[in-house]
Amino acid sequence: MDELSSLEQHRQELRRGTVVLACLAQLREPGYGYGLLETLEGAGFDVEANTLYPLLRRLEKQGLLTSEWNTEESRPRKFYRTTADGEAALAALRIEWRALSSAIDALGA
Amino acid sequence: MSITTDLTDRYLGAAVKHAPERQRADLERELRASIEDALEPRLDAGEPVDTAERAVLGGLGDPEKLVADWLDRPLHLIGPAVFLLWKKLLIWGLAVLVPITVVAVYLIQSLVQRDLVGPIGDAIGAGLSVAMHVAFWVTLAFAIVERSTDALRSLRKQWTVDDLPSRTPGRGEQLAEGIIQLVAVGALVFALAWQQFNSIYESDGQPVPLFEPSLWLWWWPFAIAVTLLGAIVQLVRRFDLVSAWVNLAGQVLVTVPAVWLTVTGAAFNPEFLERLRDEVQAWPVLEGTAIDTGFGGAVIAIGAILAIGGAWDAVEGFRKARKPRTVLAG
Repeated sequence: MDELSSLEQHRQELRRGTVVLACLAQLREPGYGYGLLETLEGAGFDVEANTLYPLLRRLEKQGLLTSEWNTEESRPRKFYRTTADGEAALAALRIEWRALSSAIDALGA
Repeated sequence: MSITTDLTDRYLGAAVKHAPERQRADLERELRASIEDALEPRLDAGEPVDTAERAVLGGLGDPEKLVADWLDRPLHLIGPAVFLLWKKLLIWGLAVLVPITVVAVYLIQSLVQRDLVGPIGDAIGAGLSVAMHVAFWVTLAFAIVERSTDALRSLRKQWTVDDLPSRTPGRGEQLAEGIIQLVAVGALVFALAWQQFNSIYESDGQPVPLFEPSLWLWWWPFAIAVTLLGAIVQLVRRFDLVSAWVNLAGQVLVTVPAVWLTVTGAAFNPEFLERLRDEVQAWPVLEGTAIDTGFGGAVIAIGAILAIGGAWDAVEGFRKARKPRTVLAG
């Protein structure tokens, strides 16, 4: 993140907001750190581990996610899940996203 | 059985060290699980443990930075919300305190050490010391505020258009000037009283004051009263023409006699001057020069400073009353 070209910085800015939306959406099904990372990367969200993990914790602190340790498997993992507040936030963000998207399309024309 | 090596343990150790006690176990567990999760596919693909581990841990980055992000800790000393305030306070603090200190130390030390050159070093040293203290304490205070969110919220008031400096000098400036004058009067009174009872010379066990004691009968009370009135007028009225005239009158009443008293030497206690003359004649640096000319020059210089200062102040009063600051229009 240190010496990026300005274009790369702008692209990162663009992506940064969408990762939150993606997490809230994806975690309606409980998920854990690394698994989520894989899923997001597969879905086209290019996010790094050292960005995602602190983000999950921040969202938990804001009450949009809740966490629980799952000790059933051989490796205990912390599972995150979207809360009711998180659902509401997700809906709001989606509306925002669609509004922005059409606004940009309108500009382009 | 863990698939990680000692390297991961070291990484986790370095990371949790920066987290508060309560959260360490949780943080370590979560991180360890994530690291192992990331290692697995690599190891399954046949990658050797060492390179895989290095890659995963390297990807996570500086453990201290990771934990700081995790715990939402600011990675700066003073953040954008209060930076401008800090900067302003720092500059004001330095601009006010350092010159005062340098001048005061020089004057006092030159009297005590009976030397003109030596005190320069003392004064500069004192100035530097004050500058460092101001810089340190102001910065420390703001670093603490940055990390205390409640205090931050009250400082982080939104800038509104009302915060623009006004076109004419506003109440704030006026209040500041009035207060400065009052403080100056207070300091003057204190200094006068002090010099009456303390002096570098003594005669029969009584201190020899610098200023002519009979001045207490009429001059000092008069000068103090006029200056005090001027300060009160400043505080109460706006910067307008009337207050500028009042200021001019006050200046004339005070400065003209002050200059006359200084230049003719009537302000000074003759006994003090005698003693000073004898003393100074012994200074090595002044050997051979005409003492009287030196004294004469000094009092004329002081008189000139008083006169110029008074004139400047009067002119400032008129300047502030007349012109609103013109906007830099095209």
